[in-house]
Amino acid sequence: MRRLTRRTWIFLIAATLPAIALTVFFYSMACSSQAGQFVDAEATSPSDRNYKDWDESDYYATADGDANVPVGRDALIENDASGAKPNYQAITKSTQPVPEYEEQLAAQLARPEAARSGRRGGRGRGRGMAPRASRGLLSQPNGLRQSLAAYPGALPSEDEELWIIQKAETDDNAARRGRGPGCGALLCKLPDQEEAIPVPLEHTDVNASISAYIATVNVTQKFANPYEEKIEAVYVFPLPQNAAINEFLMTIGDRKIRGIIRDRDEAKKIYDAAKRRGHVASLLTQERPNVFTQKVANIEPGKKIDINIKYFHTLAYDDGWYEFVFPMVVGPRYNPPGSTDGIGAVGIGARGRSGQSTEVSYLSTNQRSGHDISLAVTIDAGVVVKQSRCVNHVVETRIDAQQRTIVKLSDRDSIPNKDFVLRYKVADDKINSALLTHRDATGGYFTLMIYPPESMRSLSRKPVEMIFVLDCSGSMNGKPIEQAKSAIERGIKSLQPNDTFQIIQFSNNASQLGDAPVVASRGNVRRGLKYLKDLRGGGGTQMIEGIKAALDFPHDEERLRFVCFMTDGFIGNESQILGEMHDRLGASRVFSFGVGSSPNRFLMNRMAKLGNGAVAYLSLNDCGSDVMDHFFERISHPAMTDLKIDWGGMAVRDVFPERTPDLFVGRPVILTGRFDGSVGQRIRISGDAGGQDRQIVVNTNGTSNELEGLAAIWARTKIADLVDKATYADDRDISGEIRSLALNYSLMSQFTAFVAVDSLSRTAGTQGTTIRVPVAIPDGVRYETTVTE
Amino acid sequence: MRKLIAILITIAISTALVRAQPPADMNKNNDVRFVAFDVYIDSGDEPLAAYQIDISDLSGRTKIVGVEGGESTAFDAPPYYDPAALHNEGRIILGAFTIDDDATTGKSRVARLHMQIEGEQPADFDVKLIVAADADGRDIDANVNINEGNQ
Repeated sequence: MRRLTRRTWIFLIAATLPAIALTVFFYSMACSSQAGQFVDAEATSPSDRNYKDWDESDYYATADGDANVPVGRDALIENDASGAKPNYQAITKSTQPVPEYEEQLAAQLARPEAARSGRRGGRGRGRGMAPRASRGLLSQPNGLRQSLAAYPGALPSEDEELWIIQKAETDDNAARRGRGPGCGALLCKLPDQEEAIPVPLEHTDVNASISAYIATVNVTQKFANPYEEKIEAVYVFPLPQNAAINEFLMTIGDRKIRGIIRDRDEAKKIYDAAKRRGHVASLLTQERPNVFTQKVANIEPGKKIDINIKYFHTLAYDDGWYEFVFPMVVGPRYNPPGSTDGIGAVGIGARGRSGQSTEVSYLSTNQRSGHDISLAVTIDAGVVVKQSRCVNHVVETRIDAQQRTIVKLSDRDSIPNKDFVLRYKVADDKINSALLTHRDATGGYFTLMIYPPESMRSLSRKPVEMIFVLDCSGSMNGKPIEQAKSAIERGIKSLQPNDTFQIIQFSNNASQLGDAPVVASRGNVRRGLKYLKDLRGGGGTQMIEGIKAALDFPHDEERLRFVCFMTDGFIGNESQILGEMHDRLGASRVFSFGVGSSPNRFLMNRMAKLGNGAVAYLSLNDCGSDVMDHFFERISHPAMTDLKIDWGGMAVRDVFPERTPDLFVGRPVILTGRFDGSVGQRIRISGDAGGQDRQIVVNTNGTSNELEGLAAIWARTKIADLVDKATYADDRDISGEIRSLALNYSLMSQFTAFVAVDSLSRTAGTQGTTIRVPVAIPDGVRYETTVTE
Repeated sequence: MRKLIAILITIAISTALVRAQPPADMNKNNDVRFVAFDVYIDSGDEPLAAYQIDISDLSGRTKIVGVEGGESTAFDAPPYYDPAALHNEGRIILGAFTIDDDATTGKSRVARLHMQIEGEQPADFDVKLIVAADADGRDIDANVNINEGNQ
């Protein structure tokens, strides 16, 4: 190689360095673009923190860097140079002044139009509590505050709070225009008012029809883009834990696209690819059996997209009352330290701070979004509905020409912040056991409701060992814990002198009335009531400690042991709880009482099922004494056990639950299975109640009611059974079985998802900004003690 | 010394250029595209009130990502598909019927399939009409075909 001159070397270096710099620059741009395209936002920022553990330094940590989600809720300022449209930038939380922001603010404030923009375009000025960072910024004794104060309205006052949805950094065009979701939709509130906050979910419409004890429910979520650039909407919402979701439609204008059930990972890849390519697409995934995430990509400004979900489920039935439930909001869950696959509860702008794979964004107490709900239930019971009661909502009830009862949620009660619970009694007081069937190309399906014989009420119970376990965590603070205490008080007072009892409380840890259950003597009852009265809510939900404390001490063979859990079930580690309970259950029967307006019904039901007990709910409007009286009425008579069924010629298979549960007074059992051949004349169920043989006869007369949805209900029940088994059989791989079952029956599950793509057209530009739909905190739950900010 | 500088510069440029390449996944993901296909049934003068068709992908590069209804009021609702056939055999079996007095005659778009396709090659489908029937449930003669849809 020819020897180079010094001048040539200098020239070479001078020419090369800018090339390197340019290359690195373009690479970094490519990386930032890729981050927006390929990184699954839900998989980011894992951490072992939870909302009870964070400290001041965590709280004031900078935003998580996910540019596609709304962040920042503090001071903001317009930076629109043109003055045509206000643009806002979030200032991350900081107790210290941030020099570059201050410079930016000062520079921007030099433009008078910035301060004159007023409230146009949903500008973020409103009254409210002063956010910390605002106070921090405002308290700085430097020239900035004075500069800001020179412009009327530029600074929030002490009682103002400003909200902002941050722009996507990847959308540079929108950023330049300053007309995207980062600016057009401002979130703000007044302290004494509820001001509508624009969110991409405008409305949820629920239309349910009930036939016999099967509900068919259509849920329509109406998404719209109120911003000035396209968005992806993400909404975490609840459905009943036993919902068999088998239909998913996406409506764009007058076009309806049926979603396809796919393996979950495959569906996510399809959705992501469609999103990147600008197609309108939607994805429904299951996070828990009762918690789901809906994503809708590429909603253009001003456009509306509806998502329709259809599901079936069986109703609960208890002492003459059927119960239909539609949950409206996911309660804020406690996740034990170290967990990352729970469901985090965060305030707006705190995306990623819970460290959980799924997060729910909550509006603070005095805020509400424009999202509302309408709901109607049509009951076609075959007989007149004699009495109905809606526990948490105001409803209007009428009977139509076909003698169907129609219950409609009142327009005055349309905020989705508590479970809709409708209980009704039919005119025929004597409820008989019944068989429902359905046949299609895949074979025959049935459900059998076995109602316990009334004669069981004449039998009296043995002495009991009653363990009351009270959740004293922060989410129970206030009315929920008072409700639960009132029920326990009634329970203690209902004990007989030969019974024993124990009271256990848990929050961050567990403690109890005494080392062992004490005899229900007058003095002990008084001592127990005083102990109960002094219990307060606060701290985490280490339910595992409550489980251990309740199930670990030796069982008194002379008494039946009943363990009553009073909790809202706001935890993210359900599987761990259920596994521990299964391992420690022994001779105990577990009765779970779901407390509050939106308890975790999945957990409550599974605890009762695993614990061979039953579930009851104690809403904020229920009377604790009545609920406990009802429970005591049930346990005051022996259950009918060791059930055996003569199917009368029906060739049944795959019946779930595999072990027929015990029958308690007033509480039927529902079995779901498949069958071949014809239905026989009658089905006979025999068992033992208090040492006496009992028999129940179900007359089918060779026919039965034909009901759509039974195939889906059967498949959903089988999936639930597989999940239960996996809870306590670690070595069993159920994913293949569940996946195959769900794909064959077009069912949502933890391993499958619905995806729908409109391939006919593509939207312009990049994939848009991700907006997470903030939801109301459940009625009666305190935001301050449950939500990470 | 100069050699060393030259080598360092070469390494720096090479490294930067290599790192600036998009990851392999990006190319892979960009290989998929989404295309709509319209399904037509021509029942001639016979009124079409119900149909069932079987669509197989001969290329093995497509995935169905949505099903839309047709152009006539009789079939404007998205048809149902057989999830078990799709899952177990990769076949798309579509079916729809109308109970209203709005059966169609002639050639009509009865469904639209939204497909994800890998690569730039055109998709290749085998479409079979399993059954076509009138409002009384009688089988009728009909032809089915599938074309790439237009916006």
